Amino acid sequence: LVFLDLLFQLLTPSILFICLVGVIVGTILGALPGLTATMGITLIIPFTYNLAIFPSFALLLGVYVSGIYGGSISATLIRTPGTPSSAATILDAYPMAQRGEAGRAIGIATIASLFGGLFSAICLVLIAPILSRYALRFGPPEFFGLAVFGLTIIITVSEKNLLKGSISGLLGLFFASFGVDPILGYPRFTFETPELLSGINFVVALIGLFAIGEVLIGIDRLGDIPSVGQKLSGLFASLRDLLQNNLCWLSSAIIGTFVGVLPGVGSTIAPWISYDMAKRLDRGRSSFGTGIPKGIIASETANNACTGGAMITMLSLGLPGDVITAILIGALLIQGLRPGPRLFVESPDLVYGIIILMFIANIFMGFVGLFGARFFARIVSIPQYILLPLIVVFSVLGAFAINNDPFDIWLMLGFGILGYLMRKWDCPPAPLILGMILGPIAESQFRRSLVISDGDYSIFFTRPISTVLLLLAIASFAFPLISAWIKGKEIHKLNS
Amino acid sequence: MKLNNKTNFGVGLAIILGSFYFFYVSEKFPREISHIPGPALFPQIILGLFVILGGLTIYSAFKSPNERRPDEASQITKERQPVRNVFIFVIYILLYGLSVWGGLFIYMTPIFIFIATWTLLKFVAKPIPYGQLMIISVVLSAALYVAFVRILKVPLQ
Repeated sequence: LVFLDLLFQLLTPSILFICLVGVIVGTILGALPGLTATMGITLIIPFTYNLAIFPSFALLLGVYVSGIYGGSISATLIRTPGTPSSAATILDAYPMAQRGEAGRAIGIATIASLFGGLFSAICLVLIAPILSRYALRFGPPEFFGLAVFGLTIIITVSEKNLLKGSISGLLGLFFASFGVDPILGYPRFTFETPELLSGINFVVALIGLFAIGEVLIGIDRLGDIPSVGQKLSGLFASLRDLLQNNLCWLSSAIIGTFVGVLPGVGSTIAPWISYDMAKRLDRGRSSFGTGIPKGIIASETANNACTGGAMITMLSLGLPGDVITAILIGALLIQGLRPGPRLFVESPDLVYGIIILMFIANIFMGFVGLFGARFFARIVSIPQYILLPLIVVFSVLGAFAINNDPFDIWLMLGFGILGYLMRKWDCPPAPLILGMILGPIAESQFRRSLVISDGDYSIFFTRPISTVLLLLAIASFAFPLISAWIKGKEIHKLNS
Repeated sequence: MKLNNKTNFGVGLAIILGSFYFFYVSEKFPREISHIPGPALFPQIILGLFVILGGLTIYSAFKSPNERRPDEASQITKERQPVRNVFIFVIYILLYGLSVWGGLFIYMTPIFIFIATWTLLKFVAKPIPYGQLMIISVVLSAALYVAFVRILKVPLQ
C-alpha cells in the first residue's frame, strides 16, 4: 500500500513532464559529440535548487539514463561516441550504419539500453536495502575505510596514470578541507573571504571542471562534424534481433550492474568487458566488429546497466559509483539529505521514490529513443561553434543562480582553467570531484574514530571490516604499481 | 640525470611549493583540542602526501621518455594558436561574468554569443554568414531570457 501510495505520488503530470524533459535533454546532450551525461547533469543541477526532491530527481535521473544512451546515436551515425560509454558501440553499430541499417542499429541500441537500465533498476530494488541493512552496523572506522577504498579504486581504475590520478584525488580532498571544519567548526583556508566559510561550493567546482573545462578543451579540438548521410528506417528492432541473443542480454546486464556497483569503475569500462565476454561466449566470434546485433547489445546493455549498479552503492553506502552519482549525492545534499544506510531507515519513502523514478526514466528513455531517433539524428550535426558559447552562457548563469553571488562565477572560472590545465596534462578531473565528495566523509569519520579510540590509530586495524577495507585500498593502489614494475622488468629482460 | 619532461618538472615543483605554503597557513590551526584531533590534522596529512607526489612527479620528469621529438617542433607552433584562443575565450567568459553580475544579461548575452561564435568560426571550413549568426545569437538569447528570467526566476536584471 505504501508503495502504491508512492507510485501515485510520482505519477503526476508535472513529475512525468519534468522526467520527459530530462530524458529529451539527456538524449540530446549524450548524442552530441563532446557533450557528456556528466556535463548535462552539471549544467542542470543549479536549477534543481528550487525544486522538491522528486521533481529534482525526475529531471536528473532522466538526464542520467538517457545521457548514457544518447551516445549510441552519434556512435552509430558519425562514428564518434557521444559519451565515452558508447565507444564500444561503434565497433558494430557503425558498420551496420554503413550497410544502410543505421535505423536498425539505433533500434537495437535503444532496446538494449532499456533492458540494461530496467534490469539494473530491479537489482537496485533487491540489493540496495540488503546492503544498507548490513552497512547500518558500520561505525566511523568502517566508513573511513569505505571512503578511502572508494577513493583509491576510483584513482586506480578511472585512468591509466596512477600518479596523476592520485594528485587529482588529493586535490579534491584538499579543496574539501576549505571552510569551517566538520567537527569543531574552525575556519580553514578562508583567507578572510566570507564566501569561503561554507567551503568551496561543490556544484560551482563541478560546473567549472566539467563544463567550462570541456569548453576550453573543445576550442583546442574544434573542427567540422561529419554530416549524417542517411534517413533512419527500421527503428523498431525485429523480434529475431531481440530473441536470438538471450545469453548476451543477460550476461551484459549482469556485467554492467556488477561493474556499476564497484565505486569508480563506471560505464566507461563495463561495455568493453561485456563486449569481450560476448565475444568469448559466442561461437562465431570472428563476426564481431562487422556490424552484428550482438556487439551493440553487449555494449549498450552494459553501459545502461551501470546506472542502476552505481545507484546501489550510492543509496545504500553513500559512496559514489561514478562521477555522475557523485553529482547525484551533491543533489541529495542540496535537499538536506545525506545518502547512506541511515537514509533507508529515516526516509524510506524518498529512497523508494528515487528507485521508482529510475524505472520511469528508463521507460521514457525507451519511448523517446524509438520515436525521437530521427529528430536526434539531425541534432548530432549541430556545430560545436554554436554549442560551446551556449554552454558558457548556461554555466555562468548556473553558477550565478546558486547563490546570486558573483564570487561563484569567478570560482567557476578558476575551476574551469584548472580543469583545462589538468586535461592538457593528462590528469583526470573525475577523482578531484570524487575527492571533494568523499573528503568530508573521510575526515569526519577519521576524526570521530580517533575520538572514540582516544587518539589511538590502531582502531582502524582492530575492527575486521575497516581492516579489510583499508587492506583492499592498499591492494588496489599497489596492484597497478606492482604489475607496472613486473612489466618493466620483462621489457628490460627482453631488451638485454 | 637529464631533464626529459619540463612540464612534469614544473608541475611537481609547483605542487611542492604550494604544499609548503598551505602547510605554513595550516600551522595556525589547532592540531589537538583536549585530546581530540584538531582541524589541522587532515589537511596536513593531505599536504604531506602532496609533497611526496610532487617529488614523484619531479622524479618522473627525469625518468620519462623525451617530451619533445625534433619532428614535433612544427606541430608545437601550430598548437600555440588554440592556446591563444583559449586565453581569449577565458577573457570573454570573465567579461560576460562581469556583465551578468552588473545586471546586463539581456544586452550582453547576444553580444557574447555573437563574438564567441565569430571567434570559433575561424577554425571551421564552412563558416556561417554574419547575418545568420546575428539572428542565431538574438534568438538563442531570447530563449535563454525566457528560460532563466521568466520560468526559473533567476534574478538577472
